[in-house]
Amino acid sequence: MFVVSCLLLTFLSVGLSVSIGTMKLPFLSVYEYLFNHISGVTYPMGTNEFVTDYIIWEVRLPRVVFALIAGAGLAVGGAIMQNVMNNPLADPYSTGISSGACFGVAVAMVLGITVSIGSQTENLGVMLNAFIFALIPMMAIVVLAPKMNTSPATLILAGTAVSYIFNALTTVLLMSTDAETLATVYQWQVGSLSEITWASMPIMAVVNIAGIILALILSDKLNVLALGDDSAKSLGLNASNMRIVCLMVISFMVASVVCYAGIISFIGLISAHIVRIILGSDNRFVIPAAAAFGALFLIMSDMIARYLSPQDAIPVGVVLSFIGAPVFLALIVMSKRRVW
Amino acid sequence: MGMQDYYRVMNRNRLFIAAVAVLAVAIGAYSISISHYYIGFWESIEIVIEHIQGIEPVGYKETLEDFIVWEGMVPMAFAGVLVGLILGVSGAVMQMVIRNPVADPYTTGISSGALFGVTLFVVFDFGIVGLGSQMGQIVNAFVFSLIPLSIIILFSVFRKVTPALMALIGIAVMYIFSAMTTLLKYTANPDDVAAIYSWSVGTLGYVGPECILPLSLVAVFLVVFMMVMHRRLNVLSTGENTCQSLGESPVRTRVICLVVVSVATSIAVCFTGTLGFIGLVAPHVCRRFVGSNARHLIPASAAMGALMLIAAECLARSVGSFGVSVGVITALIGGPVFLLILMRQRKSAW
Repeated sequence: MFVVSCLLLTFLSVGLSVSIGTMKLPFLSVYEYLFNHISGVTYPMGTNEFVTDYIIWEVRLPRVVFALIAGAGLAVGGAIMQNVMNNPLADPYSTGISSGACFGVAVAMVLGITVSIGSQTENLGVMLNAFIFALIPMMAIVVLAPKMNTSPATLILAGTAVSYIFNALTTVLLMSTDAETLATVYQWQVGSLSEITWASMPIMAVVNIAGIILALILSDKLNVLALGDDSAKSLGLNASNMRIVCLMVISFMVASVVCYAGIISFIGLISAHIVRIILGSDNRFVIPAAAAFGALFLIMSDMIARYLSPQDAIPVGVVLSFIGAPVFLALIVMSKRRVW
Repeated sequence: MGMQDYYRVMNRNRLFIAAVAVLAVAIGAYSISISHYYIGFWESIEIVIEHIQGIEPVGYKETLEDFIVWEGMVPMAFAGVLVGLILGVSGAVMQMVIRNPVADPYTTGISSGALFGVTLFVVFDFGIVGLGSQMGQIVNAFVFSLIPLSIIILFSVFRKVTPALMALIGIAVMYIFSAMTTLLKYTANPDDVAAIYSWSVGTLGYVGPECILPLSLVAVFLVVFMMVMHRRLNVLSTGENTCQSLGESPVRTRVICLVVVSVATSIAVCFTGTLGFIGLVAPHVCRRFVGSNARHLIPASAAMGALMLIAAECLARSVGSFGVSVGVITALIGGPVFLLILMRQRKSAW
């Protein structure tokens, strides 16, 4: 019920979101144009309809679709991470993904070193750097896992320590740069959807949709994992391996979002909690509901941010916090359910 | 495990705490001589002793040296040891009270509240009290840092909140403050943004002699209070149900501890900015050596926090020509060491 209503709202907000911008379009005609485009209607060059179609299809829709998938991915990532780490304060970035990515961006911008060859001039170099550095903490965990204990507390503490190290390195790099680079890196840290085009879509969409489906399949096992390592073992689940697999999946999902949109925080932490307050903590419901809610939440926030400032002056993260936090607090006051 | 073993462990723990504490004080004393002025270690000590004895310095050079040591280096040494101590204890208590290994002294939202207060002051010159610039900023940081805590307390009055929920409320309020700070920064000029940034990273560079008294009082009170509470803290970290069956009111103890720790941390923060990492890591390192009993964990965390901060400060100052801040050093050196400790630990302390 909750999932369905979230999906419906999402569908509505897609239309609303596309219709908002410097050029106002009527709400209903957006669907008409979309339907026409999909069914192959083309407009002659230069007409009003052609321009409208172009704006909808090439400028606004990629951003909305990206928000849809990224929101769902981040929310599911947060839900899984909180389960795997057995910690309500965990979010998708808990293993140090965000600070790793940030360091990658700083390295690319300040030192001009990119991991890929020959793409230094393009944005692509920066993005690849972000992606690869975001995966470093995860790779470290996978390599070291057989040698150390992989209890949730150890993993999350290791992740926090890695974050601190990367942040310190980033600070060292940023100390020596000019104000302009600093501003770019800073903007990247806050997260923004303004650079999104269709080109950003394929990898991100494939990885995230696959991750969400995998999470849905694994949701039973996540429930078992939440009972604790010993109970999981007696029910025939290798908790440690399960944890590592989940971490890998989350890392890829989040890294693919982060390298295009920067670090969009809060949504991963709070979506799963809001859903848990409403639905309880059974993962078979939490994961699909978190996906639907995350998608809705990010689209709405992006929409409000663009409505308030068509020039993209307000970062989406700010709107997420301003809406999400009061909603969360209000839900805590109203609910009688004990979740954590 | 016999009585003998028990006493052996007790003695080993006491030895560990004493050793770390002595090391921290020694480095603190040594730090007085590390600056870019050429005043040697014994010379500095001499100046300090003479100042305490009330001997007036003669001559221009002596007066200047006396000023540098007494107004600059001594307060920094005190602040390094005391703030480290406060952060270490606060982190340990917070982790026990919230029952979460990633809790740190700022879990109740102190850092973002304080940062918002400072931002308001820097950008709009808005101070709660109209005192001089330095004081206004300190007061702003202090007052705003406690807003998230009061919201948490407000919630716990009206309904039953679990420790995890307390932390989540703190985080939610934190995000609102961060969002407001971000918006304010857009309207600010680059100089103000730089000032805010340097405050958010945390530094001992701005402390003056006037901070010694409040910090000492807070540190002493905090340690004494938590040592008095140590049995309750132990009970609290065993969990809600055990707690009740042992005849303790978990909510009351928890709220009292939260308030004491948060106020102490706020006072430390408003002098030095939000120094991260130490409050999180010092207690975990100590758990590895002295176990999770609050009776040993609290003094050990106090000593370890003091040691980490003052040692990092010394290092930061000796490579000082690059302007490396103390927070960077703690993370760059403390981070890998902490990872090593985590890896070598066979069994989780949680």
